[in-house]
Amino acid sequence: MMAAAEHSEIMMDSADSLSGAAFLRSVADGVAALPPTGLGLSPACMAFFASVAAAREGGAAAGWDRVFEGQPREPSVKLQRLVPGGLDAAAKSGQYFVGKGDVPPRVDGPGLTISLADRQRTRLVFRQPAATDEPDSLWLHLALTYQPAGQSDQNFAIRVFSGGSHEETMIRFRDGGIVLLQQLWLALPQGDRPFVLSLGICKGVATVWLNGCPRHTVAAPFESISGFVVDLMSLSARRCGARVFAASLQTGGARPAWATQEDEVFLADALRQEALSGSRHDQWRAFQGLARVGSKLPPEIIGPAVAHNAAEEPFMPELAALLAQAAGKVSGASGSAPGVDGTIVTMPGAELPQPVVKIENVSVTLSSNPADHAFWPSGQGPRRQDMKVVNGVSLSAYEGDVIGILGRNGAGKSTLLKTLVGAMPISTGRIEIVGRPVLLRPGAGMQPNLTGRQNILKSGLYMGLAPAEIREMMPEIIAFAELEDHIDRPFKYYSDGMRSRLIFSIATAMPYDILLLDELLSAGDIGFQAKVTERLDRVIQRAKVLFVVQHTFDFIVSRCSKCLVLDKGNPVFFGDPQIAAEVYREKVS
Amino acid sequence: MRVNSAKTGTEPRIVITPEGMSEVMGIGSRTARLKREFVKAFRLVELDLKSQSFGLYLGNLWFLLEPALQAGAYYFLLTVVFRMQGADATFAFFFIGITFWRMHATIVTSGPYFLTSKGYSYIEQGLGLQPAILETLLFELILLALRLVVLGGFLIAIGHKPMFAWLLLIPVIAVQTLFSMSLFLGLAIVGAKLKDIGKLVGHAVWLWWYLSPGLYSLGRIPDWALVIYRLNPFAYLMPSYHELILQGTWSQTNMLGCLVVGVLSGLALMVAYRQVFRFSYRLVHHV
Repeated sequence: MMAAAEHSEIMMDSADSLSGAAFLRSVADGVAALPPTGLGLSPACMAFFASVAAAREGGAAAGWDRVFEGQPREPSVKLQRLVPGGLDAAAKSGQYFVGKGDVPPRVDGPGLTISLADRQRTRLVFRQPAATDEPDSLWLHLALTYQPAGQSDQNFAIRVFSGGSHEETMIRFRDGGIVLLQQLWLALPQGDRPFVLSLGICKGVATVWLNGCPRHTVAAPFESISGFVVDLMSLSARRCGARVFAASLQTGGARPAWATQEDEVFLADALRQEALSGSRHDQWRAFQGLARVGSKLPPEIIGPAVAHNAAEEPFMPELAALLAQAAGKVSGASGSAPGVDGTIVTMPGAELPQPVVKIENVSVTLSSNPADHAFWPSGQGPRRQDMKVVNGVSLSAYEGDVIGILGRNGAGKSTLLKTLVGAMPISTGRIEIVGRPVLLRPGAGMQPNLTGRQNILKSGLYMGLAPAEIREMMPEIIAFAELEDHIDRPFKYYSDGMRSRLIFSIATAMPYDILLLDELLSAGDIGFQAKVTERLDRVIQRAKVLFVVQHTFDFIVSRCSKCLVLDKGNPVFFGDPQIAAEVYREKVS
Repeated sequence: MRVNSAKTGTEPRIVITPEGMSEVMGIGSRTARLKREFVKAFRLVELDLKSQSFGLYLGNLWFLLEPALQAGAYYFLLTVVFRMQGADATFAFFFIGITFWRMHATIVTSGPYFLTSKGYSYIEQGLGLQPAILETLLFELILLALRLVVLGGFLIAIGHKPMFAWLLLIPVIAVQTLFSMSLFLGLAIVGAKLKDIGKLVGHAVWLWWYLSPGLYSLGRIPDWALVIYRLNPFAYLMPSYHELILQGTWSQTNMLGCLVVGVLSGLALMVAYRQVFRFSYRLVHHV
């Protein structure tokens, strides 16, 4: 990571902005030229692009004002823009600087093109003029497209810095989306469609807007910042690149509150995908978004969504009510919904689904050696240093969720699970759980001197079962573990394989609603693994919520509904398990 | 198969913050849970006893043989080695004190190590501290019961007859248990924060034994020292045991003393129990 002082700097005055109108118009043209989808573009989106297109030379100020600010801007707030013409001029005048060994972007027609071969890098730095104090609010608006060469072949990121501090990565571009602050996945328009990405840091809060739609707000790494670095690096022989149509650096209390805080295209696209994914609370969230903006859903969305959810009994009333609300077909009667055939179906009082496990901004700080109290320390180096082993994890798990947790050794996976049972104190945040979770780990609670049968009894008792219930479960546990001939021998004489089979068999027989499995899935030989898979399917069907810590991808990709990737305690990604697996692979490599 | 007893009827709502873990559940659920915890603790102690007798030819019989051998050794010393007059009565007096003191000594000396060993292991596995405390208590009570069987056997063997007054031992044992457990939990917190304390407690308990009327009667204490001596709860507990077992009586002074000790210990136990749970959430910072 390079220091901010070494960055190239791009500082534009307002005159440079005028020629950028053409690029903005090209964004609008690009979108307008897209083949019409079944959903079409919302009037609000079209209004945004019309505003962009109206930002012509000579009229740019008014255009930008309309585009980027819903409220009249303070006259003192200086709006700075980067446009390719201005960039070129800035480069000639020495204001534009490319870092050592970096490839400069090419001013190409109405845009700025970055095209990189293997191991090449380009960095664009958007920085406040030196004379300006760090503003409370700093926004970067980029209109761009990018051409990924492959999931792991490029590193395209937007970083922020404050004064002479180190950079913090805010956004990392992935194929089909962006990852915000290593925590949240936001989908991007697919294909070559240009899009406008707005990233703002205001009083310690980072906000991301896509095409004028507020998408997410998270805690920022700095209270205020000095500028942004758009950083693209190629990691393979294949060429990759991006095309920046327009960019703007905006200060003061400005907000990109143009459009109408709605983006039906994104929401409906998300809904279409989620209707097929089977992730019920994601659907609910999408419906919520649609209901909030008062959108009317087209039939091709309602039909499949309702049909898909017909089998999802626990959520059906809620989803149906939201559908009804979003479709705008029902007046007054909350809890009514359109059926598959379009008729109105009356539902009992609909309540919004609540998460079973809700983790909000949870961090865990531990001392490196808490018991090191000796007056005469024997070791060298610092004593009792605080370490953040989990940092700002937020997620919600709903009924039916199977959440995988991926990460290298020491990433904080097991620690996170321990926080859910109160075994590890959290230093910040809050966890709410409806039900009692149970943490199952290899070897937990096993007594070497007791027999396998006695250990089954002991584990069952620990987990709150009555002795009669345990005795009832005992034959099945023993049979599954294939230990009929050894169950009355002391546990200490079991082989490693026998031990892990017994532990897995006990753990997966327990009738708990919220199960936390910590690396339990690698029990036994290949033959036993087939049984493990079958058994886990039954556990998934039975449990309300399952958290699984695992190093292997098979289970994560095939069985999990979501996946959290942790890296040194930081949440890198939470969402689609396929993407999570790719993010993890990239981290490992 | 779906077994429902792991659930408590209404699902509890657990909230975890940096201050600790709190659980919202109905009174019915709490009662059912407490009942289950006791049953569970008994079963787990049973398994613990089996685990401790692993590999022994005589197995669990050793829990009876150990106090019997100890009693035999004391009896041999008094009658054969020291050739004491009235050895039977002296032996009975000694052995009563030792029997009850052993439970107290074991509980108190293990207190400083409880959270950093068994307590932490339970917390780390997400089983909570309550089962660990209950197991410790029940284990000691079972051992005391076994020692009382041996004591009863010896008393009967040397000519004492069982008396109904012996049933009054139950409240006295309850008072002693309250007192020992309040100290146990208090020392558990102190011992986790300041591990060196564990090294001192054993010596303090040894000294405490000689400052308690287990080997001698209260009549040997000079009047001027009696006021200070009476601050020791065992100044009421030990004479109560002696009176009840040997004479079948319970003097008013000792009864009132036990009552006061019981009330104060109960209050101290409640405070210590609350504090130990609060502390246990942050235990990882001290282990």
